[in-house]
Order: sequence, then C-alpha cells, then structure tokens
Amino acid sequence: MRFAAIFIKEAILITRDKRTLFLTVVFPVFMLLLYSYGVTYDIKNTSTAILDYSGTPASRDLIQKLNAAGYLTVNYNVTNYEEIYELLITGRVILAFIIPPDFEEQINAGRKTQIQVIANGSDANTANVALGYQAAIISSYGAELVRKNLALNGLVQPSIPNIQERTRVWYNPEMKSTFFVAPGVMAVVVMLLGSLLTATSIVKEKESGTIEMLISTPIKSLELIAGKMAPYIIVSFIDVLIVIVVASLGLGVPIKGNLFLLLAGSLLYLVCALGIGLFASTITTTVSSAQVVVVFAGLLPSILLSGFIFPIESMPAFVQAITYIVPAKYFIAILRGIFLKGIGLNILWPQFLFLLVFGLMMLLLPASKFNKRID
Amino acid sequence: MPIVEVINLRKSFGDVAALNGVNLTINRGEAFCLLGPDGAGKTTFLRILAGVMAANSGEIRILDQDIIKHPDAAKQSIGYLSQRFSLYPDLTVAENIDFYSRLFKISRQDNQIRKERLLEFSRLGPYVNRRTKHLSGGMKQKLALSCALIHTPKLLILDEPTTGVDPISRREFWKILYDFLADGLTILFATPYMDEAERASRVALLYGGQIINCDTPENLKRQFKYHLAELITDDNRQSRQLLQDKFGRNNVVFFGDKLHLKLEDYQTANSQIQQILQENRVNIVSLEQIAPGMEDVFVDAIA
Amino acid sequence: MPLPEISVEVSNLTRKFGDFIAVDDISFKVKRGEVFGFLGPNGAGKSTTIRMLCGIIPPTGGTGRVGGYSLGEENMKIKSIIGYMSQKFSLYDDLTALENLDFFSGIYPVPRNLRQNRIEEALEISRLGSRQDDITATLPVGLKQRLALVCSLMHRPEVLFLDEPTAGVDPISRREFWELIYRLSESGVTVFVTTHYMDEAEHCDRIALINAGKLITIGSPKQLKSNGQKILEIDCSNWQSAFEILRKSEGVIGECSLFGTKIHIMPKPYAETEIVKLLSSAGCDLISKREVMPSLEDVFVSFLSRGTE
Repeated sequence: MRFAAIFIKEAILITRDKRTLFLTVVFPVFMLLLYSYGVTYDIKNTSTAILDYSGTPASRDLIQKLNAAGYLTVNYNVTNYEEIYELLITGRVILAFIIPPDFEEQINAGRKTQIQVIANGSDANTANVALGYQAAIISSYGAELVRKNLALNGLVQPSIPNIQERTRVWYNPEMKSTFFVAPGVMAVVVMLLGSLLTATSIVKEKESGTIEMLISTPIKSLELIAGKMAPYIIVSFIDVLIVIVVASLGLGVPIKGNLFLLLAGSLLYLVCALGIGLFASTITTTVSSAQVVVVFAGLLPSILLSGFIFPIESMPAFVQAITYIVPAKYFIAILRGIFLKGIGLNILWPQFLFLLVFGLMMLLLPASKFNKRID
Repeated sequence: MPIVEVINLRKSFGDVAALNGVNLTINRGEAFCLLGPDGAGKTTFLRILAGVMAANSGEIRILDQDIIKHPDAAKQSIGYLSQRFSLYPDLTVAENIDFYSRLFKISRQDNQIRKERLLEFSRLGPYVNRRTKHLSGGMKQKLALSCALIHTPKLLILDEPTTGVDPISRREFWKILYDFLADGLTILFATPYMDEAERASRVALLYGGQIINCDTPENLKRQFKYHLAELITDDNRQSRQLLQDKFGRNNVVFFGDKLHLKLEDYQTANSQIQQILQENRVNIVSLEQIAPGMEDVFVDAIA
Repeated sequence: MPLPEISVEVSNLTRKFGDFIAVDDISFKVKRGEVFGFLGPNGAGKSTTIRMLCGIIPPTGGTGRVGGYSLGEENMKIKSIIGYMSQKFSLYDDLTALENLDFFSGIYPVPRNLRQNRIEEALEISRLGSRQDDITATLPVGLKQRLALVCSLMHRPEVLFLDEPTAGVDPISRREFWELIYRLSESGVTVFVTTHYMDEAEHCDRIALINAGKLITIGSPKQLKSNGQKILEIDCSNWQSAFEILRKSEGVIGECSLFGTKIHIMPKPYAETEIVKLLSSAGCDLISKREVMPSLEDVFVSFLSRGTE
C-alpha cells in the first residue's frame, strides 16, 4: 500500500505536468522525424564552383559529368581566382575546380594534366564526402578518356587490366540515414526520460521539503524509490513502443530480428537510465544540479560517445576507452543488430550482459546509500 | 509509562555541538512546549525524535520503543509537521490526505470517516478538490495538520507550526489541536509565540544544547526572582530611554504598547519611576505590579 | 529637495489583474518617520500594495506618491529612495556576511568613498562582530534578520518596506530588531511593516488593516483598541474545560478565544449570566471576570470575521 501511495501520487503529478507529457509524447517522435528527414549524411547538391581557364569542349564535357550525378551541383562559373576565394570564404561553395588553360590540348596529346580541386574544410564532413565523389567522377572520366584514346589508335579491345569494383552494402543497401539514426534516437530518448525525469522527481522532494515529511512516515527506502520509478518506467516504455512503431511503420525501418528480444534490451537499457537518474539524485540537493549531472553522466555520452552520430572507431584511443562504460553504445549495437541484421542473443549476449550488470550496479549502489536521514 | 523518554541525547554537526546531553520526559496527554532562542537546537531535537535525523549518542524511547536502535519502530504512531513543511502543490486537498492515508496503510473506510472529520474541523470541506497551490497560507497549514493526523497518531511533533500564519488561522489551528488533546493526543511543539507557551502543560527551555529548565508555566513564573512592573505612558519611547538610564538597558523593555520593568523591589522603584517621568513631563497612564508572563521568564532565563 | 512631510500617500489606489481586483480603492497618508503597520490575512492585497509602492508594478487606478515621486511615472526615482527587506530572501546564503554587505553597497549603489564607512556602521549596528566572515547560511536567524536589515539600508533610503521581517524569530532577537527600527524612525526614515505578530503591530504608530483588497480600518493601536468592542476576560481554574464548554456555546455567548490561559469573549448581549452558569456547571471556579480593552488580535479577528465565513 505504501508503494501504491507513492506510485499513485507520482502518476497524478505526471498527468498534470504538461511539460512532462510533452516531453514524453511529442519529443521522441519529433526527434525521430527530425533526424530521419532533416538530418542526413547523404550528400546531395553540394554547391560547387568552376574556374574554367580552358573553355573547350573537353572541359565542358568534364563539367557536365561532374554535374550529372546529382551529388555535386555547379552553381558558379567564375572567371578569376578572387571569385573562388570569395565563394569559399562566404561558404557558398564546398568545392571549387580550376581547369587549366591547356586542358584539351594535353588530353588530345595523350599527356597528363592536372585539375586543381579546392575544398571548404570548415565543413569537413561534407567536404570529405564531396571529395570522395568528385574523385570517383574524375577518375572514371579519366578511365574513359584512356579507352577513347586507345580506340582512336586502333586498339578497340583494351588489354588493360580492369578492376571493377562491385560494392554491395549489407544491412542497409540504400545506406539510408534513417535506418542508421532511428536506433540512436531511441537510445537518447530513453536515456533522457528515464534519467532526467527520475532524478528531477526525487530531488524536487528534497528541495521543497516534502522529503522530510515522507521520511517521518514508516515508508521504507525501497518502497519510496520503487514507487517513484515505476511510473517513469511505464512512461519510458510507452515511448520505446512509440519510437518502434513510428520507425518501423512510419519510416520503414525493418525489424529483422526478434521483437521480444528488442523489448527486453530496451527494458535493460531503461534500468540503466533509471540508475543514472537515481545516482544523480543522491549526490545533489537542487533540481538544477541534478539535471546537470544527468546531462553529463547520461545524456551527452549517449549522444556523443555511443556511436549514434560520431563513429567510435574514429575517436582517439583514450576516448574509445571511455565509451566502454557508456550504456547507450551497447544498446545501439543491440538495436542495430535486431532491427537491421536480425541477429539474436547468441551474438548480442555481451551487450545484454553489460546492460544487466551496469543497470543493477547503478540501482543498488545508490539505493543502499539512500538511507532515510537528513544530515 | 511516559510517552517520550530522552536520556543524555547528543548531536553535533562537525565541531558544533547542537545537543549536548538533553534529558526529557513527556507524559500522555501533555501539550509539551519546547522554547529556546534561534539556533538553540529545537529543530534538531524534534527531527531526531521524528526519526528523520540520526543522533550521535544517547537514549530515546517513544511509546516504549528504542528509537536509536530502531528508528522506524514508532513512526506509525507519530505525526510530524516539519518547519519547512510542504504539500504537493499540484495535488488537491483530498489527494494530499489520501496520499498520507495510504502511506500509513489506513483502510478506505477508516480514511473516509477520518477525512470527513478532519475536513470539518479545518473547514476545508468546500475546498476538497482545490489544488494546494491555490490555498492560502493558513489553509495549507491546516491541511498539513490534517495529513499529520490522518493515522490518529499518539504523539504529534510540531516544529513552529503557526509561523507566518494569520491570527485567525492560528486560532483555528489550535482549536483543532485542543479537540485532539481532549481525545488523548500528546503534543510536542516548538514555537516562537509566547502565548502558545503559556498554554502548554509544561515548558522546557533549551539553551546551549541543554534543557536549562523544565516545568509547568506556573512554576516557571514562580521561579522568576524579580518584581515586574507594567507601565503605560503617553510616550513609550521616551519613557524607555529615561528609565533605561536608571534601571539598566535589559531591564526596561517594550511589551506591545507597554513597558515591562524588571525590578529588585517594586515599592522603592515605584516612586523612583514616577519621579523620573514627572521630571521629564511624561504623563503616566498606568503603573502597576504584575505577574510575569512566559516571555519575561524566557528573556530572563536566556539573558 | 527637502524631504516631504508626507512620506507616502495613496489616493484611490487600485490594481486589477484581469477581472480580479487585488487592491480596491485604497487611500492613506503616512508621515515621515512613522512606523506604519500593514495587517491582513494572506492574499488580502498587502504584497500587491507594497509592490506598487516600491515601483515594481504600476497601479491600474488611482494615484500615489512615495517620497514625493509619483507612482507609475517616476518608478526609477522611487526605487532609488526606498529599501526593501523580506523575511524569505534578502541575502545570499553562500556568501559571508561581509560579502553580502559589499554586494549591496555595490548594487544600490553607494558612492565609493562612502562604502567603507557605511559597511563599518552596518557591522556595528547589526552587532555582527566576530561573525562577519561566517557564511550567511550558518548565522542564527535573528542575526540574519539584522544583517538583511542593514543591507537594505546601505543607500540610506527614505522609506523602508519590511515584509514579515521577524517571522520565526525568538522574542529576544525580535526586540533587538525593533530597537533598530525605532532608531531608524527617530532619524526620519519611514518604516512600512507587514506582520502577523500582533504584539509587533502594537509597536507601530499607526496600523492599516487590509482584507480582500479593501482598507478596512486605519488608526493607532490605541485608537483601534478603544474603538473596538470591549472584551470580557475570564480567569478561572481549569481553563481547558472551561474553554471547551464555552466554545460549544459560542453561538449564544459570542466568539471565544484564548489569551494566555485566560479566556477572551466578545460578548453578545446578556452573555455574562449565561457564561457564569456554564462555568459553574463545568465545575470551574471563577477567579476573576472583568472587562478589558481588546487586544489588537481581538480587533483584527472581529473585523475579519464580520461578513466572512
């Protein structure tokens, strides 16, 4: 009954707190849609400038090829170097190509020629990808030139060894960002709700003084903590379901693996999030400081160090070491595994184990510290 | 068997000894008042008894349970209203009471009956579905009291329960308490209001971490060694100025719109007072010897 | 500009929040150096009135002047000549007492060359003494009150507003606090106080009683008490049972309340005989029965119970 007392009270307060409701229902869907449609790692229509000193059919041919694939868009045809400088510094182009005046002559003579490519490094990500594309385009153009040349010289069947690259992308054939992003969004959302709301709710009682009245009753620490967490477990779990439904039915993310395993993993991760919230509430006395702890210990790592946005492999070694204690990393691995790869417990057991251990530790350690005393 | 027995209670915060060997007994049905200057340790003491703070050493028995060893043992029979008490602003009056009711495992039927009684006493009936944040200070206090009484405790601990509450609500608050006292409740309360101390069964003065005196208000007043004069004049401030020069700064104090003078002997002082005031053309409205009140006792004990 | 004789005056002062009338057509004048008490239940409009007088919110109707400056139009000037102290928060708990003094002398602002002097004076008046370097949160409540008071005085305001300044403070500290108030009043500072302590209300030169936004009555404590209904004071043995019995018959004899261990009754006509009967039936020996002037609390209660629940 005492557990029920706390549970009912929390439930009433949650339903009356407009902000929490908003956070619970609207936020996850919003984030999912935002990241899926709004944010994409696929490059399209990268703004490009061309300085064509040559002005010949050959150079125009090259320019047309650069434009054709849709990854690059030639927005500016400039006539001097200053303009290129201007466009780059104002960020209006990511790439600039400078074609030398003797381009056609060199090609027709079968000699090597160079094209200068300047990239706007202040947006390194985009520039990198764009460079990749342009390199592919130009080298394929180059290869085609070679073939044409050889054919012109009578060698129709080139005996040049030809390595053809055949790429197949497994798990996410169209390399759709959505599929990549949805698991990450789930991890962030669950962490946010599970830890932030729990921590806030417990610390608010400390701040307002209601905790003193609570402690003076016969309630046990366990009943208090369990009663406070239970509504947030339910709320967070509802959110997990919302995200799964929106992602799979709305955005087309497939669920190749076992749905129940997915839910089980979500539950374990939720326990970790709650644990972090509980931890934050035992070491702070004001709501704002509890929120800071949750953001640094829970939220930020789940965004920055989980592999959600930034690949872990590219991080320096000591940072990679830190990622080993970020629950979100394991959860995202589980999600991606079940959503996209369809694998099961036999492969994912290390991730499940980590979440289990982490979760239990985070719950039991602070709980024992939560002795019912004001001091 | 006394309701509360405290033996040699000690509590320190770092180097500061808040309670330095407190001894106390409270009997059933008493309205027991704890007085003391700010920072004397009253809140600390009440918190330890309510089981909300741990003591460093000593013995406490409440309803014959050893509270030091088993702090939770008596909680079902204790009601506590902390100084910074707070209710949940977004819950209604009824929801707040129901919450505490469940915490104390009161059955639904009992809850119904008691809730009605408490709401009637505190005249909160018409506001049953109003959220706490829309109640006035006095109403919140009465609601908090109702929540602390829903489980019909045997001992009620109140830490300055009527501070900041308007006089009407204060009277109503005490009316509720008197009814429960008549039914056998024991109350332990700290208060800055001397008139509440006047009405206590016994008063304990806490000072320097110890109980320096503990007795009924009548006995405490009898121990007052001096004569007390009450003086009303046309110009209190000037009178005070003049008389302080003669009798000492601490012995002439304001009491509302009157002056209280602490004197060795009233007879000799009487003529002196009249002389000084007449010389300075201050008109005396009344001058008489009175019995000391709790405030006089308190100030005398602490000074 | 020489200081005006009337320090604060309001005429038909009104403040509405949407349809809700928080302050309803209030008028009064306060002389320079007066200690003026503002009494009333919570939510009666006291804080709103004070906020208007401090220039924090403008009135929606009526006019007022504080220190000669007009309300609503010269709010910035008003703010420069008033001080405000509230019980709940005036000081930064994490700073030391001295740091708080420094802070307040900086923000009001006090001219630099005067700061050191004022701070020293403040320390002396408040008798902080050796505790000036203690963290404010560790100071006892009475000392904190005095510190908050001197902080609000750093810029030598003409009018001082005190919002429940001594709530929860023990009688000794309260007396010392009022000593300071008197000294201020004597030096020409007008002091506005809101309080729930009726004995403090007695210290005021004049009192205004506010309820539901309206000014109910105004006058010196003496005036209010002599105009109020006389109280019947009963002193008897076994006051608890006596009170029980008398309370049950409030409808017949009049409202009963406790004053110390004596019982105060606002007697209805012919109540006395009934009271004597009830007391003897309860077995209580009547020690004395006399008519006394109502205390301010009685006055307060009788005004407020008229026409309310």
